[in-house]
Amino acid sequence: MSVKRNYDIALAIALAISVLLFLVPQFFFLRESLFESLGMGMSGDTLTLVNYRMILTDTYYLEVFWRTFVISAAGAGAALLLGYPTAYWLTRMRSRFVSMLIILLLVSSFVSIVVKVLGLSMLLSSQGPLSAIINVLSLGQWQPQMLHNDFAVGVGLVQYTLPLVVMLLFGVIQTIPESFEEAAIVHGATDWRLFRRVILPLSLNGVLTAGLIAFNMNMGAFTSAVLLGGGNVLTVPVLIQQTIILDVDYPLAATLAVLLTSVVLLINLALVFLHRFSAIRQPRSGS
Amino acid sequence: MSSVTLERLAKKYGQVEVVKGVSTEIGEGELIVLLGPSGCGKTTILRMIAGFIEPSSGTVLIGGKAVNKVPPRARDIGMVFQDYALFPNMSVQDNVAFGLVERGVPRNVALGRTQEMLKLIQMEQFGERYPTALSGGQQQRVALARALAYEPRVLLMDEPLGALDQKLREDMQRDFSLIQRKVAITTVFVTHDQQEAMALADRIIVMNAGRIEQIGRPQELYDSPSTLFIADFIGRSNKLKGHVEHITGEAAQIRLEGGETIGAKVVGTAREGQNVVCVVRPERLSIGGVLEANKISARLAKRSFLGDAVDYIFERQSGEQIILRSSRSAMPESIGQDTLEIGFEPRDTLCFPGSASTVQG
Repeated sequence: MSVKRNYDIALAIALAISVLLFLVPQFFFLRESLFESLGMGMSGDTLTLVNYRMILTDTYYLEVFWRTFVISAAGAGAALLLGYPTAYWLTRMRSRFVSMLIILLLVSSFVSIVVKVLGLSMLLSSQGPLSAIINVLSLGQWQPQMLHNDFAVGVGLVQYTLPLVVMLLFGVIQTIPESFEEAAIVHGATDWRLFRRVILPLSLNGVLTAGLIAFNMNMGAFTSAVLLGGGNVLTVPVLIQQTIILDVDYPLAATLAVLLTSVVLLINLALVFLHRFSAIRQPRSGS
Repeated sequence: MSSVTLERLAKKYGQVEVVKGVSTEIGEGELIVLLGPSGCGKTTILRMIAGFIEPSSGTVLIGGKAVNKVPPRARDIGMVFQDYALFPNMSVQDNVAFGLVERGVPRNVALGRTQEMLKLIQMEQFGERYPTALSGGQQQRVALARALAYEPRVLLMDEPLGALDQKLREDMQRDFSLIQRKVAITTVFVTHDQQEAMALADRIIVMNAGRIEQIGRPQELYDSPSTLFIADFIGRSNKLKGHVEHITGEAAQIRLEGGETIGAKVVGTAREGQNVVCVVRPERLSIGGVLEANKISARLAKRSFLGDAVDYIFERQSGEQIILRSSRSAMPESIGQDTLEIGFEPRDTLCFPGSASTVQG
């Protein structure tokens, strides 16, 4: 029992530190966002919603939020589409290299995002190999601009989240016994029907979790947006940084931060709620 | 309903030959049990019939047609898995209807058929439940209903009762053989449990190290095993080592290592002086009789009460163990610890060339 209690205390300390590091700044943001900016980094001393009114009525800010959301969602979707088959084949590979591949995946997620993004910008640049290949394939008709736009940022986000998505999905798909697949196939299911009726429903929780985590990472991603967007792609994190560094408007930056956190939180809660709701209507026991 | 024919079926993994050229024919509506110790190739054969494993050579025929190139979904097979493999995201009803739905059977027809199947397994009221809310035996029955719902040509069962406890297992064996008779479906049942094989099978195929050791009705295998492996694997046997002293046709005089000379029936060929193993079933032994021709002496070591029978375990001076099974009423409660004379008949004594050390499993 005493071992268990010590373990609890260790957890409590970790929790307390997390709360301190996350919630306390949020509280300061929230407080800062309720004062008017007087310019030069100074804030007023009366509570006001003027920052919120400004952001929520200005299409410029709304567009930034919308763009961030679209790129993040598309990036998460693409990571799931790429990650799911990869994770599936990894779980079904009967090879001793699987654990090595998983370790490689883990290591690749340790590589600094800056390094990864620089690699990508070389690959995607108009002098890069990808561009050259497309140019040749289109008989010199098409020289695509793949860097410094939404697409480039999206690619960066996918590269950023993919290892984690694959690892999360691997863990989930691994729990589906192969005998389920054999049972479906021997009783007449095609591969697509097997996926649709058995594998996907049984891994849906994992898909949702991996998708949400990728989406959340994307919503806060800064490096990809700056380096691959090349100043053309304004997302909320980039905007916050600009508001602080260039405009020295702390209340507005704080308001943007509060809104970003709220939007992400709301989307997460809504998806989890939707999932629960559909699970109640069509009970899914065991998972 | 179709016959299943295996023609020189073999499977190699690299250098390891798991199934070594197996040929046999399983008749329409027949219940065949593939029996053998683990690693004998029985599950590999089943999975080759299902189409999950491609044979290295040889042919699987269902209903007289080669199906080697036919994918599992098109072989029209029902299968019950060791872990049941019921889909946890579907109700019992949807599980049973799975094969029907995948074959494009109209909804109302599928539903009616599903109800019929639930009735067959006596689980009509469980249709809405989910597999995780069922006991092991119930899950097993649902898995059977799912495999039979679309009236496949062949039913394959891969150690389906392995996870159940002894009593439930015997109940399920009885239920299953009744259902199998009722739907009269060609069935291949894999097990390593010889008691289960005896209880279920029309015919048993005993496998050993990738080969068929013997095929026969349960009683045939028990009474006339063709090899020492079968004699040892099917039922319990007492083994006595010795060598041939004299032989005329099938009848031989064997000099046991313990010193006694007994009469025995030779299976296969043996010559004088050859080492042999004599096998006698425990229920063929008796104590204190005067009529039996064969007599050996042994010391009583233990008596174990089995309810309807009693096992007396004897030890011979050579260290060999002898088990004598007697019906409860036939034996006195106490027969002392002394060395006793055990008697049995030469016709119940089968003698196999070779030494006991070659027997495994």
